[in-house]
Amino acid sequence: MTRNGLHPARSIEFLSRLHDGELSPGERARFETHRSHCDECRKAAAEFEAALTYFRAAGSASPAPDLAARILRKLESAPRRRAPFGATFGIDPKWAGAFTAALVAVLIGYAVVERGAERRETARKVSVLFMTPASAREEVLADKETSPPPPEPRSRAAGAKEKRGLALGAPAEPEGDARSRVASLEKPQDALAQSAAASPPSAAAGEEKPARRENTAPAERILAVRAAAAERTKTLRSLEESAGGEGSAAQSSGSLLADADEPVRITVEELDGQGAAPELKNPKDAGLSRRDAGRYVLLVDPQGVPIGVSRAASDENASARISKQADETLRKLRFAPADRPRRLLVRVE
Amino acid sequence: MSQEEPRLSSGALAGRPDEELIALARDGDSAAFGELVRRHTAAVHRWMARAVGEQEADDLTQEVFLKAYRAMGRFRGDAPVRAWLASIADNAVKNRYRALGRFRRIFQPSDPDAAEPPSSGASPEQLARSGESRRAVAEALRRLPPDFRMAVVLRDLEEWSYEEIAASLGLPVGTVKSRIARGRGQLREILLPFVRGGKAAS
Repeated sequence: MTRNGLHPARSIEFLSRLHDGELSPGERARFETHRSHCDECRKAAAEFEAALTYFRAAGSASPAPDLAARILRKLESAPRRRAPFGATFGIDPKWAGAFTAALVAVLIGYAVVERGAERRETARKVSVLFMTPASAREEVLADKETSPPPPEPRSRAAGAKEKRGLALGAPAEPEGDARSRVASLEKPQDALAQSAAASPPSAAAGEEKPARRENTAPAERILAVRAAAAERTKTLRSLEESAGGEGSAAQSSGSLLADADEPVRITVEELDGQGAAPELKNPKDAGLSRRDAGRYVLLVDPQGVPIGVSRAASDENASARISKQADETLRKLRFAPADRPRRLLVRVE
Repeated sequence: MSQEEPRLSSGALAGRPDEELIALARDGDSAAFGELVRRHTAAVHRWMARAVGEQEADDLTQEVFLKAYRAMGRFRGDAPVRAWLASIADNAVKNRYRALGRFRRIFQPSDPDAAEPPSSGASPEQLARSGESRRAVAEALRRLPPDFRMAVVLRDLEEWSYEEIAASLGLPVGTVKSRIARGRGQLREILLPFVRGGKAAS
């Protein structure tokens, strides 16, 4: 029994469309009829599903706990070499071309008029023209900063810098229990000290004058560190309040926790085009709560036991990792056994 | 597999949608970009751990955010932030392998203990939680052409729609579907011994 003399499941495109539920109803019906008679196609489709299930169920290593913090530190230090963080994006990028053009005009005029007098300086500036567009733009902005009419007042630029030190550096420990955060928050970290030290009130950019930067207002630097430490203590308090909850609940943990124990509604839909979703055997036992609300994709083995849990693409937090608690409770769900692995959409509302 | 999202909220920013954060970041609000980093680090790392291997995932995750930060002015805001990050990640993956060249990719000796089917009996559930399947899957992905990897990862591990993947990678939907189908075919060939090994033992 074949369709057009072929075994449709020999085609990987066909199997892929079958898996995605993209066959037309007619194609699907014809294949189901064919599959019921054809061992080869039944086996091919089952193996395809099994391999994909296996592929999806394999976990991957978690990022190092301090990865986000490291990236933030790197971001803090990277632009400092070229231009102040705030100034880099304080100017609408669409004006960047105009700035570059203006600079070119100025430089050419300058070079013509002052050729003899300021040869060294001109050479440095002209070299800007041969940099990559991104670095050139930042250099342009850096030059703007040091020239007489700055694009924004000095004090604001300095404020933006301090804000950077706090904002990027402060909640730098993404994971770990509240206690380890206590430890890290109570002592000013190297990165923090560095960012404060590198953020003198003077908005001088570039690396040409490190000595001047070093000597600028040590008292203000100390103040910046202290302010940062105070900010950290605040963060710490809100962390302690929300210990055990999700980070996003930090601001209003009380009311969210109150809702967390309310019963939830669990609905199950099939995602794999393999027919109606199997019955959920233990909707009550898993102990899902409001906090687990969301849409999840479960890979369920033929015994009805989940072997993989992920957020659905349609979940509003689709890009976020599933919480440990939700992962564990979803894995406690048990479904009616089936003759093949299933991929199911579970909504917790 | 389960992992708390590293998301220490920095106050009011935590509840803002990505689109607002990127707009704020482009206006110079560095805290907003910091929040985006915190929010998406785990996801980008997950893609990279699959697409290039766990050893290099940290480095490439970092690279993605540094590139995003530099390219922020060019992001038009017409796609979700995660799709934009995925396009940067896709380029990072391809660049990573461009240097190796096609010849070497094909003939590169694979990790000798990576592709051995599991020797001891274990249920699919146990396998899925053990390093065995992880190594098998890593090996399978390593053999896919770099052009296919992000597409397969985004579709079959992250459950993105074909349309979003196509928009992210700058490809027609048909091309994405065909790459994913071919990628799945290769994965099936590589992973079937493991699947059978697991089944025979359980």
